[in-house]
Amino acid sequence: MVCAKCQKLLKKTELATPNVKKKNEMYFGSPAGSAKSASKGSATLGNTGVGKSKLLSKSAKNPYAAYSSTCGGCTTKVDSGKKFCQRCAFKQNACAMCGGPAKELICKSCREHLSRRKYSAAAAAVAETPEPVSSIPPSTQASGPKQAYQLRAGVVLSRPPQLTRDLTPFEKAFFLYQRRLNERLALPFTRYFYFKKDTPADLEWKRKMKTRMTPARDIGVYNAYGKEGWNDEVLVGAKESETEEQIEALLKDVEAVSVGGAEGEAAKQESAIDRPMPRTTEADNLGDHKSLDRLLQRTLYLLVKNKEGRWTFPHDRIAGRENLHQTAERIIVQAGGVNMNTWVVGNAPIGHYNYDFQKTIVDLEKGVEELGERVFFMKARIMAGQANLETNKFGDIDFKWLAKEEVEESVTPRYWSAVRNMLAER
Amino acid sequence: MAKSQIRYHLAHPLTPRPLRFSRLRALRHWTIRRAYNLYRHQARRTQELELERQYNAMRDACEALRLMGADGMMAADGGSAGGKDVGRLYRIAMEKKGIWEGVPIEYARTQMEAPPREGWNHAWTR
Repeated sequence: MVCAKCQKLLKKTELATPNVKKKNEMYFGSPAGSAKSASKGSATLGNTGVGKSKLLSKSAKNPYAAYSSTCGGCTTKVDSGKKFCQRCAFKQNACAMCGGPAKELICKSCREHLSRRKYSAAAAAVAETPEPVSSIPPSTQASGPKQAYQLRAGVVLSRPPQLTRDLTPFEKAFFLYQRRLNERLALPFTRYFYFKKDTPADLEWKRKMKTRMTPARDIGVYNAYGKEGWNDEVLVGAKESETEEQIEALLKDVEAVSVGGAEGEAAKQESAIDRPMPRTTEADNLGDHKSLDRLLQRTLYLLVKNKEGRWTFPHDRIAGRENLHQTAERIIVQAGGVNMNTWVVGNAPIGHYNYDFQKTIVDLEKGVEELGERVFFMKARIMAGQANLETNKFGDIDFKWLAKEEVEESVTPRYWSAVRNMLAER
Repeated sequence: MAKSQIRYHLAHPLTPRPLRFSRLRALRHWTIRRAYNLYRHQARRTQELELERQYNAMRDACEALRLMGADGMMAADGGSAGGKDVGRLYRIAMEKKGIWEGVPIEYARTQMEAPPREGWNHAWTR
């Protein structure tokens, strides 16, 4: 950081080591004013330092003291002829050589140099005077419309997972392993505590125990008390650890009761066991994206297709003095109709999306130039009902209930990068 | 009666059951336990990271709200940096009063092993 005047000085010097004195010009004295005396040329008698006490100053002992002087701002040694070290010069906005104001005197190449090094040396200076760094030009209040962003609220309306997740094969195997170990550790089943001797229930129990050999119904045929009690591990590919197999085993056990009951055929018909519903529904098989019965283990999010054919979460401008929560409730009704039992969770947004328009929208009536939009997403849950776009106020064409990775496929990459973090994995 | 029954049946000659493992079996057991612990650690870590991502998304949104004026401009954009409208939406969003009122009872429904017989209630009307 050297002012233009001093830059000329620098250019004139053709020596590789400017301002170096000849040996006979040197004196081992105080470096004070070395720049001045150096430019003057020969040392005068009083200035030679011949009769000078070397105890006078600390730097007197330093034979190279003449080459350097101290920075005016700190204690850093600087080249002779310079007032400030580069750091102090930058801080005080002064020329490093003459110390004069250098605000406008930084040459073009230096300015480029400075801007290139913005993140290293100038970082300290920037930290002191934090000026807003922005690509958007500051608004000019006097002329032209006022600049603004469209403020919008979006609703992330989601259906929570209805089913527990599927277990991984490792988890299934481990749980069976643990249950068999438990069989080995547990006390034997005390039959007479539960069944009175020779009652039908007791006979039933005896009959079943004979086949499955253990009180637990869904861990396969295994006897922890027999000779083979050590052999509690199942082989690779065994079906006992599969959830479906375990459910089947439990059902078979219950059905065996009704079959073996003394009531006869009629009772058997009556007490047909209700099997649990399958975990994949019809909507899953059909790939019906409108149905809320799909992907019961996952969270489903409501996405709507707007007039331009873009899929987004339903959103609208915040009107007047509305707050985000009120806007979200209004959007749900205006976008999907009243026949949804929903609940907007909390007052705080869960994420936001900024978008700068390619071309700003100028509203001359309001005198506002809209640079882009800011959408703040509110979380909401649906408990019952279904969206209906007949009464839609935003001109949306279509809607879908999608899981997280399906959302990614539908929306634009830019939108996705803004919303991905607020969506739950499952 | 029941008490003496329980006492009688708990006083089994095989109490406590010994769990004896051969050397290889013990090693196998150790490996299985270790693998499961690692698996659980991994799962928990994934969950924590997900929560962290969600938290960060919320925090960024709230920060944007806080610095924003009524016209959506921030001081960084050269917009209006003062006035009482700056951060108005943020202050409302931070309001905790009444957020637990009106929580629907259906929200307490837990996840099940199997779906309900009649499926989702699509025909619900207000």
